[in-house]
Amino acid sequence: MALDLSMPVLVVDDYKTMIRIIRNLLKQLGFENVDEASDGTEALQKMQGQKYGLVISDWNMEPMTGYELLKQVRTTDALAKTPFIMVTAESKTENVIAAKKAGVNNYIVKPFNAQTLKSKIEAVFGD
Amino acid sequence: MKKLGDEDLAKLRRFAAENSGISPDLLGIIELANVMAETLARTLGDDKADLCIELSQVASSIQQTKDDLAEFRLSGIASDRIPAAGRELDAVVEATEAATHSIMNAAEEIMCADPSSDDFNDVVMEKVTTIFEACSFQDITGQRIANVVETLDYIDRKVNRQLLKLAGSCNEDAVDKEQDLDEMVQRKRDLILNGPQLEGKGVDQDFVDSLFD
Repeated sequence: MALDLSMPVLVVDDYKTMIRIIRNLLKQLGFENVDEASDGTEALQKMQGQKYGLVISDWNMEPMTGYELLKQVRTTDALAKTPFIMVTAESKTENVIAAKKAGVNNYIVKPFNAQTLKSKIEAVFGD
Repeated sequence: MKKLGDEDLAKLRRFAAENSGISPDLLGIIELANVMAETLARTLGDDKADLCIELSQVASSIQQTKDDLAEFRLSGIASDRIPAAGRELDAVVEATEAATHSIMNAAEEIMCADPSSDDFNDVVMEKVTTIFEACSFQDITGQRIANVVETLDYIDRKVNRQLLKLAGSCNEDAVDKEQDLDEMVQRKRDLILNGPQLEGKGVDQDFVDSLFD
């Protein structure tokens, strides 16, 4: 997969502050087309209406968690190949392993910095 | 205690009638006492079974209360949940303090930067990025505080249920709330919702990266 800075990116988090932070960091990296959702349910609805080049999602959200969203995405034919990065405070080994088994492309533990976000996105797209 | 039966009353009346003309003397009184004792013995004898049953029920109730209190202690509130909530609040204070220093340091460095310098824009951008990164504390502290609120809610429900049990009533509403709580706990396990870990308890980014490399 090639990294395309114009691709739409979907940021999913129930904390507006975190969405703002990620949006600003993505802007610094050159991503201008950033959309947002406050939980997995809203994200799934958006993804069914539009194709996103990358999803960056939190884990702990209601009513649908990022983990449930990931599993839904990976089991939906039209969405299955969407690059998916988990950005979360869930930092137990079982969380990371579960996400990897569910098909996440990369995993960032909060708190994180701009360099980490950049390097993980680049790793997903093979840059 | 039951009232004296008809047979017992009839016996007392016969005794009184047969002895009404006689002055009360010691033997008469003893005889009366014997008749009273016989009738009372029968009455108490019949009631003894009921009394035993009632005492047995009281003993059962006391034992049930002791079992409930023991279960309450075993639910780990004092030994696990409350100390964990305290540690979460300590972590909130630490994170807030660290973020505040980080933001203030970045702001001070911007203030001290030389606008005429060639790298002024880079310095400002770098420090602004630091400020954005530091602001992420709000997400994690919010989750920690949510955990503390959940603990308080758990304690509240458990205590209410115990109080209702001790009062001898356990209404449907209290049972439903406890079931909701149990379902919530199970859902958190199923969805691996552990929340932010305390310092040194969770994995770091290097470990995560080793799983994806």
